[in-house]
Amino acid sequence: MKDGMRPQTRIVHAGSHPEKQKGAVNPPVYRASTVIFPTVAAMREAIENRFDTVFYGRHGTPSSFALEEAVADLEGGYRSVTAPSGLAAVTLSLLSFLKNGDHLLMVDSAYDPSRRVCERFIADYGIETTFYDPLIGAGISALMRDNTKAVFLESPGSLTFEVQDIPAIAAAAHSGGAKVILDNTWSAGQFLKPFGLGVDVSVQAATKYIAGHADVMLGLVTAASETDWRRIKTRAGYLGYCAGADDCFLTLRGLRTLDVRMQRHQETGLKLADWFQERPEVKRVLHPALPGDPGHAIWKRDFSGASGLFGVVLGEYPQENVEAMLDGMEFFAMGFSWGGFESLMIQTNPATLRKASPWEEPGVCLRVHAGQEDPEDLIDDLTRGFERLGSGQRS
Amino acid sequence: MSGGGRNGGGKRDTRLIHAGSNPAENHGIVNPPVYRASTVSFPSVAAQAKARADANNNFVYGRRGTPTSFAFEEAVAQLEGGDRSIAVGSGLAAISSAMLAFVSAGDHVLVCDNGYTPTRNFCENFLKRFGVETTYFDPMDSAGVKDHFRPNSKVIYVEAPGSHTFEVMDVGAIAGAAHDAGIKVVMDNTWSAGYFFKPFEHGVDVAVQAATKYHVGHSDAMLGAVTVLNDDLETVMASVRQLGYHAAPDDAYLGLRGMRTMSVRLQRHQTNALKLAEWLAGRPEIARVLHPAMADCPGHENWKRDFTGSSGLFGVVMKPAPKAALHALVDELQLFGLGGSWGGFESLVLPTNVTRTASSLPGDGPMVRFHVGLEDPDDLIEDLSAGLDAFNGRL
Repeated sequence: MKDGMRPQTRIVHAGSHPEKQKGAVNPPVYRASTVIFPTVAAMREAIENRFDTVFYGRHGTPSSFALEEAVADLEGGYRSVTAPSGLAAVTLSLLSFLKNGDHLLMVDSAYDPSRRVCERFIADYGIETTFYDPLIGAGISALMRDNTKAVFLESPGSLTFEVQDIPAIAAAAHSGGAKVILDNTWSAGQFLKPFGLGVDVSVQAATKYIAGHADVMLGLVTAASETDWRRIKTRAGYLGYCAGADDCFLTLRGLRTLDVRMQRHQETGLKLADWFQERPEVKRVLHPALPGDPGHAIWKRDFSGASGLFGVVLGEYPQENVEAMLDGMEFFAMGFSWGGFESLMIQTNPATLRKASPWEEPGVCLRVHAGQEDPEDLIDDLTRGFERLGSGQRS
Repeated sequence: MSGGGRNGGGKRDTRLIHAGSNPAENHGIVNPPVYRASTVSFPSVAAQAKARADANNNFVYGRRGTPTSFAFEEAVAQLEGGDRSIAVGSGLAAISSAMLAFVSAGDHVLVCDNGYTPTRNFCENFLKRFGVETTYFDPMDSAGVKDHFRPNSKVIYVEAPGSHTFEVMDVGAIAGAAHDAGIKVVMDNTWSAGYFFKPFEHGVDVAVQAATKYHVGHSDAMLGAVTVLNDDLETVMASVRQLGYHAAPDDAYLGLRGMRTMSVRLQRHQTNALKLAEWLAGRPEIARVLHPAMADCPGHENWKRDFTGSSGLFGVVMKPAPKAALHALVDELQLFGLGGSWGGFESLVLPTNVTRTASSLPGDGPMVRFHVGLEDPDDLIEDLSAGLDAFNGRL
């Protein structure tokens, strides 16, 4: 693609090579294990160029290469590596830069499964994790040790939506010789360009906004530099990570509408957040685009927009009232993950997860994903939900 | 979840997110599975007999549809405002099955002079061989259309706006005249996607969609849908069955997946196309812009009264110019792919050659059709500007 194209155009055209696929707009779904070579010399050449050519199904096909190229373009990085889930991408990024005897600084507001990888998996291999307060900023230098090899960020935080000062943390990490890894899933790479802020490696649970239809599990790890990318790609090879061909196709298909979808998620998310703020049942709305949010100033500096995921802290209600509300929702489905076309709402309990920065809000916490429905229908649904929350009467 | 929203309530954008969705029957999973089926097995003779007794509403044999295609059909029917939709393998399959449903040898059909070219070809090369005669009528002469009616006229085929020339006929007036004469009204509603025009509110009996275009929306599937009211269901269903039409399961899945983002995509297609149409209208190389939302488009008043918006497809008539100049324009374009069909995420350009036998062409110069994609419109305008420079260089 020509240089100078605007982001909205890049999303439509990045990774597109009709000239290599008989003119078809989209890459074909290559379902491949064996790749055949015409001669021994050709096979030898392919092995030598294995990072840049089709060589064995597990290492990628034109279906996954197209997706990797498009996501690298979206994130503004050198190149991407596909993995079979967002969590696989998180684990791959950690295992690429940490070894026995190393130390990891992990944000205390991380996605719960990322925490568990640190506490229950890499700990077994002699990698120590310290959780840090998401609002620590430049103060992270006090936690750096000689063997700290990676600092992992997620911004805004999972469930609680604290916005991290990425440039300040990255500068401290780099001066201590550690890699900076960011889980950039909330912004989808659309609203936060990580590499200009000092991030070395950006992780996407493409399952969420990039695939965007609740029908795929897929992750991507994007590196700023060729050296880091080669390291990640090599480790993915050791671990046997391989994303399914159809899932790569669907994820790239999702990417083509990312811009229009994110615009709607953003608008509807803000509409709902404003509505929640006016309600007496609500103590706090956790949404960085609200001017009163503690992370608003940093969000405004570093992000160009907000996605559809945010938190709500209610007052204290009996659990049966909360369940009467949630069980009777018409349009807000209950379920894990997010980023699809439809709205979701679940009850969360961040207090049980935190180590370095206790969660002290006593009220009931909700996580809301604003889908692409008509926002007035969503507000009507929430209004009826709050009636049930107050009365405890089921619909 | 009470589930009511999945089957009933909500505004147009909410229906697009929830129509056809049935997680309760699919382990809670948001999207329907892709059923690849021929045989459907039954636990008993009685169960098979019961299913076959109501074969239009049960899963009885792969060719008659699966829960995957049923979900797509349900969503299309809700969008069009009809009682039932039938998925077929292409837009042209939808057109031919809808027309064949109502005609026999010795009958007569009327087709608007600005209809989709393959519809004309179907009439000339297929219907004619089976003893069905076609008359083409001027789409803008709604008062005079009844002069073409004959006692054996069975179907009138309408399309608004017209293919390539974009005149907007008065569908309600033409349908009224047809019904007075006992003629069925079949409409190709593809340009509006069923989103911007509600055919059954304007007297249409059968609405045809080339779902390949805006429903699928990603240039990766061929798919059609025929939507009817209950009175015509048996007749149209019989036609589809006898022709052996069947929509492939992956394509039906992609059609439904595409519909979930139809609202956000069409919104962008609409604003981008209007921006480009206005820009082109100001260019000296352009004799005329053919876009229903522009005041000088024939039938603009009908569009304004009957449609709630416009999609991304429109045309222009260039000032008279040699072929070499037109080809230089098209070849210079980087972001506009040269190809048939439309409705996908990326912009397309197509020089058009139009046949008219009952009405006149909108101008003498070469005609070009644009499909405006989801790119940043400023990039598209820069691309067109370079194309027009190349055009001027060959004058």
